[in-house]
Amino acid sequence: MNDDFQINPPLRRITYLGKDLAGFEPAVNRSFYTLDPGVRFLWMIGRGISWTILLCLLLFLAFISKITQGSATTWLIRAFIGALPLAAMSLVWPLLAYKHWGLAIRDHDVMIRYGVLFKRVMTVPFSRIQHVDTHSGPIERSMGLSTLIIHTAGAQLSSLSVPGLPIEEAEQLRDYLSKMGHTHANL
Amino acid sequence: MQTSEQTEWLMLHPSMVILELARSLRSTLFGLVLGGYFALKGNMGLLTMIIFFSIILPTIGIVLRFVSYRYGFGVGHILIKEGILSKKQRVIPVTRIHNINTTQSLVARLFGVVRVDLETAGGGQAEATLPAITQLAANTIDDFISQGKKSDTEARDTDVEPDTSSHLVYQASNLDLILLGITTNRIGLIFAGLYAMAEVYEQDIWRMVENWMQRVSELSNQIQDRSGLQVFLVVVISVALIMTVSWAISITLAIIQYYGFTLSKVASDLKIRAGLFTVRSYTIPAGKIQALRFKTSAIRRPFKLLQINVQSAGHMGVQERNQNSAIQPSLLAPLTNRKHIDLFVNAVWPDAIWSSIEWLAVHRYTRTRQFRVLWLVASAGIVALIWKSEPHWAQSLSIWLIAGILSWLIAHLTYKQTGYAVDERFVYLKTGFIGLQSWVIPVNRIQMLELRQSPFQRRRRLVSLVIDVAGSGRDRAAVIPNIELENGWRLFNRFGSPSAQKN
Repeated sequence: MNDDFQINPPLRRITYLGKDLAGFEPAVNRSFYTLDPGVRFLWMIGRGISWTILLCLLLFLAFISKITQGSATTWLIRAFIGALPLAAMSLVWPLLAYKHWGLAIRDHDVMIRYGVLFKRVMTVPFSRIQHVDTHSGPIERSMGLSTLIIHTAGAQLSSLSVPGLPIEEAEQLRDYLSKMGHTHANL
Repeated sequence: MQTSEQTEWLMLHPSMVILELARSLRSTLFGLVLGGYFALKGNMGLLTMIIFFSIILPTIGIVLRFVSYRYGFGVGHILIKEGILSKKQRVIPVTRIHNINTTQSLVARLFGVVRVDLETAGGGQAEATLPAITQLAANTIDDFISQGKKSDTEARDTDVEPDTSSHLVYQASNLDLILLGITTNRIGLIFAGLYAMAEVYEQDIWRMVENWMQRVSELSNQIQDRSGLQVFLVVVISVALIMTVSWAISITLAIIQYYGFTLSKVASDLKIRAGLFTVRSYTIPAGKIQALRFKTSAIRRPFKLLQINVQSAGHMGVQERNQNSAIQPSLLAPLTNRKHIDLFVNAVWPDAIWSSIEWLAVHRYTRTRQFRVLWLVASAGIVALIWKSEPHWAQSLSIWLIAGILSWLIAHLTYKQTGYAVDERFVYLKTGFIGLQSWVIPVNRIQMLELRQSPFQRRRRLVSLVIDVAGSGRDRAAVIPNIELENGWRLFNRFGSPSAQKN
């Protein structure tokens, strides 16, 4: 860990690397900075909304067929019943996913990790940062959260987004990273 | 803009009016045909309207544009102004232009003019287009831009001697083009043809063919099963016919597109020139090349032929190209022999070594995984078949076993042909089952890295490394599959480190 703590943003910085970070294991690695705990509820709300829409649509279709054909089509009912446990699981999933989310700022790159079953670790070297955005939707804003999006020129992955950062922190990070992007560009 | 006052303003070539009108007519061809159709039916009003909107109006616009269009050279930049009512003047710094594309259609060749697109780093449209100027004027612009760039590099770094040498790297022979046509995969076309045949089946033509076939089969009386022979002959002859036609089309298209394909190296840029009717030429600045990709298909592989593509940042192509008549801007060689790869790799990056790469194998799990996936899919298909029909257990079992053996073979071949190598400055990758794909990626072009690990990989302490470089986004991602966790981490950190990114 770096001693240079005055550095903006107020995030843990890591000089290296190595085996300490190589923790693909489910255990939360201390080297990564965790997201704001509020993001769990944000994710749950998001999922809740989409599941509600889907389930309402199914019910609506069943209702329509009840009116037109006299009885609700059985597969619609089955789909509805089958979707309920899935919805429940999907609603609880963010609690799990949160534990595996992490952000790390190293000397020369920014790194994220996520994934409960399928693990992902991604990095963008500072010199490859094109521009950095913060984005915050209405629900996110009401919870005081923001998403940080780091753009590169890449073709397939192209950007790295970090959800669930407190707005102030996200903005500091955005400024810091775009500054680093500029200073490292001519490296 | 102090310089603009001393600038000597130049006009476009007058043939621009004809050429631009032809272009505009080409885009409204459908409307014109439709108008003609209705005119034949007596609706003259519509025809007049269409003629007015598609011929007269554009002509006025083009003439006005021609009258007002001027271009000139300033100190370190090119100036373009146009417009009668709202005047527009553009200053394009030479250093920002990174390639000049020229197109010469058949008509333009009669006038001895070319169309020049000046491209800057921003993607999408060309920064500026000179619709028609003489070849001489185009050369002047080319010289002006390369001079400007050179003086810029000299100003920045006096030690480096600008390399102005120009040499031919590759020239496609006619045989290459014919081979390209023959080996182009036109399966879609063949099926479309077969479908058309089937559509015609009920009609007279088919009956005529059948009669003819009957006569043929009457000649071969010895064979007992006449109807079977008929069907067989019909199928064989129609397939042969379709293949021949599709081959002829492919060969023609290949020759039209790539006739006289030459790749030459001018200073550090690559210049490509090709085309039979419309001659196009474009430059690819070597510095903008993000990766090289070699692709070979099942048909080309036995002949050791492959296609070489460049993945480059920003827009590179010739404007308004359509699928059939333009060169793919990313193509470095339409078709070449495997033994020439080094030539191309060295032309782009002199210090990359292709021929002496020591390929490293990926983990055996690559095979295991693919085998499982393939066999699972096959098994699911077989189960579905049994479900739907009378089960023939012995047959089903044998098919299942054969599917298993095939899956294993495919998986094994893929595994054997997947590999990677890393040196000081480059990452080399190869993969594929029958068709092969390989990449050469400079480490300093890597934009982003990702390590992936599935639960199955975690049990074996393996990861897959995804390497992302700038490009068009349609290309397949470069992935090193299934390497040891530690190794993956080492590469992940090495590729992302500033020392690797610097060079």
